Amino acid sequence: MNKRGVVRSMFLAGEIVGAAIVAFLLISSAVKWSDSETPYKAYLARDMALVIDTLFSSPGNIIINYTQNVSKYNIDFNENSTTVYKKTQIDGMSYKFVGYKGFEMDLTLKNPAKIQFAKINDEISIGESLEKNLNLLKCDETTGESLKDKKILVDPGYEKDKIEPSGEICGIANSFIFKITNAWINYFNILSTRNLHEYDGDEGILSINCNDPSESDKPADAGVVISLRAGKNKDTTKNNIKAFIVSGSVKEKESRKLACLIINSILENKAFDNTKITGASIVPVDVEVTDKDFPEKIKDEIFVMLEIGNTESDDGKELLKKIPELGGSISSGFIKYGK
Amino acid sequence: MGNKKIFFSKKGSGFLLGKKPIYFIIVAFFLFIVFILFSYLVLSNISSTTTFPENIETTVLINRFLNSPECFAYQDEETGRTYTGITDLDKFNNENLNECYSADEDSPRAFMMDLNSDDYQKSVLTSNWRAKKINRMSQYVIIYDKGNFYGGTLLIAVQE
Repeated sequence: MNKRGVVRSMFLAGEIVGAAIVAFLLISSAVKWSDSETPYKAYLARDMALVIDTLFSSPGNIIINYTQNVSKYNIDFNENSTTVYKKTQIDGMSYKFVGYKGFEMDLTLKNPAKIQFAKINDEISIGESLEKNLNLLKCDETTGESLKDKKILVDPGYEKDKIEPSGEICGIANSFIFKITNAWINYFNILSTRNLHEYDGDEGILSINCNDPSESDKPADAGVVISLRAGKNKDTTKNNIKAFIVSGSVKEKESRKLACLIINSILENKAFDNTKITGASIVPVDVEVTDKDFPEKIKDEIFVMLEIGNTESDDGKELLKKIPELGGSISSGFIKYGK
Repeated sequence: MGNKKIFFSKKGSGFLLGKKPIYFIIVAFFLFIVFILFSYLVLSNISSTTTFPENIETTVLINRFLNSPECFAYQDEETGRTYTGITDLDKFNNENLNECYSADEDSPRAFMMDLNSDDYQKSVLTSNWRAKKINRMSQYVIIYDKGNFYGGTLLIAVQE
């Protein structure tokens, strides 16, 4: 056996492999870079990284509809970069962004027709169609114990210069009572500022006689008080949900959380998707100076006065007609509290 | 074939390279240089065709520090409202900065900020700060400290 011949053959094989590697690197790089779409991919990666940086810079909720055409590309988002590519990540272009500590993302969008970026309550979301609600409030996650065993006073209020509440508000109050007594709470824990009809054991219904204020329970006897009112605003472009709570109350934090959960529950209800709700807020008020018709002695209770919609606007009227949906959303907020 | 010899040492403890392998090493070296130059030129070209308005990324990131309640922006606890451009002195520290700007070594930008007013002087910097290629800028800010508001200046050093 010719030992010199073996060594030479191995050396030649090494040369061929080396040449092949160099050729592959040069050709693949040349192909990648000569692709006329590479600058556009680089631009998209950088632009989307910038959009994500912008989300982190936003002081509140924000939804960005991305307007560039990205339908030809696949896009990877991870915790600190965006990559735009066609077939594999090898032909892709990446750019970095900087998130909050602990931010995690692992998302691939394949040939998306459009992209939405959102920051809702400090949570970053990216997708083709997010269906996020900008009005959602950020609720305190730490406060509150379940309301299941508390006495709940329902106050349907009354319209100005009248002694009975509007038909819609009365209906919403009764719908709310129906939902929570059927699904969650004992009927004897329900109190009201109006006379309550006797509980019908067969039908499982307890309801308020809104026109009869003769038997009114006192807020002091309840652990939670919820007042319901229809909003009224001459500006017909407004159709807001507001929750008034008592500023300085010993239960202010709990009241705020309950108000937040109820409002978010309404905003997240798909039944209202076609009704334009223009805003939502929690308003702390001083009971000594407010012109709101708050029930008396609510300062030490968990108290929320929910003002729904705007009776002057078409959207508001439409919203107030959705009685079972509103009752259901309010009860969902109640049930979520303490969980 | 005489030029393609591989010379083995007589003791068999190693070998000496002939002319052809040396030729390949030189060629590989030059190819490597060509490859690096080619890469640099093409990447420069791509960068130039995707140029963004100057300072836009820096501006966006500085806005995060000033506008986001997770960074330095003052947020009213009662209403939850964030006051953009008002710096909460309690939040102006390294720990908070690195919570809201979790940079690693490869992150595009690093920051060092000095907050100055008549009564205060505080400095913070991001974890990837290395003090090289620095651009400096300053911005007027309102400082919130325990219920009081003061005027001040934020000096920002950006490392790109």
